[in-house]
Amino acid sequence: MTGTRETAAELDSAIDTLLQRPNGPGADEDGELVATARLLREALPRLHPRFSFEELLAARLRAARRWREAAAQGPSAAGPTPIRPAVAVEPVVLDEAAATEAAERRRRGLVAGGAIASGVSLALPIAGAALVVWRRSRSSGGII
Amino acid sequence: MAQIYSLALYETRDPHVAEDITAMTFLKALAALPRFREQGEGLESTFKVWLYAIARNVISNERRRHRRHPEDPIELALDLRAPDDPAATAETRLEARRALAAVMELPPERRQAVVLRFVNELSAREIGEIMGKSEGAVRVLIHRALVSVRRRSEP
Repeated sequence: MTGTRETAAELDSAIDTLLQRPNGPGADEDGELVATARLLREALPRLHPRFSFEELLAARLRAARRWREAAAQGPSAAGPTPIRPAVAVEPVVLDEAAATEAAERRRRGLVAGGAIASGVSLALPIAGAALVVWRRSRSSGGII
Repeated sequence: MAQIYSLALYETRDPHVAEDITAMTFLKALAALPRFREQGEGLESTFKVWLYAIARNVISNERRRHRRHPEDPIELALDLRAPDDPAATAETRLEARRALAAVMELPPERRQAVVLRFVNELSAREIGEIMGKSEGAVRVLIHRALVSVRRRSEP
């Protein structure tokens, strides 16, 4: 078991290095499991919910916070428990500059799911879900 | 929010359920916020771990409620960036698909550890705090998961 723990600790250290320096040297010298780790880092996409969902949830959280603050002053001040505030959800336009900065910060490419045309695409069998998928770009790492 | 959603979607394979889980996680966190005690600063903040632990509980409850995955497994059609060598693209894509399928077939704990490590880029220590395990146990969990993925994704 100690041997397994030691091997696992060594692998974990290699994964740390891989996550911190994804484009660093070493691919040719990777052991089998590190190569698998490298593959997973490339293969597993990060998924983003629909923009409208984010907006709606943010509104729900704001309403819930306001209700809690009012409730702290007494039941009459709070009014009924907020359920789902009716909010008009406007489509969110992707802020390219902010997206670029975020993508660079995360060293990942950014793909808008509804408009995937080239580069990395991710197709999930889901109806109506607009996805934004962050994936590492194998070459540039910018907006794809 | 995207990190919690990612975890929920990998676990449930259903974007609608994943949205419900994300919403529930944040609403529960808001309700529990007065009881949260920060025990670190900056990168050592315990808030992230606390939030993931809530998400994990919500996912677990949701799984008990539904007890099934959608009939069609998550299907990821990966078209990796076209490099100069089309053969290399096809090979890489196939490899990635195999690896992804292997991850989705892992036992729940191993899959969750892999997603938290490689998708959400959490450390073994953070994952341990979320899953209620020691750092060493998480490392072993990930080691075993990678061995399984390696075996299953071989042609």
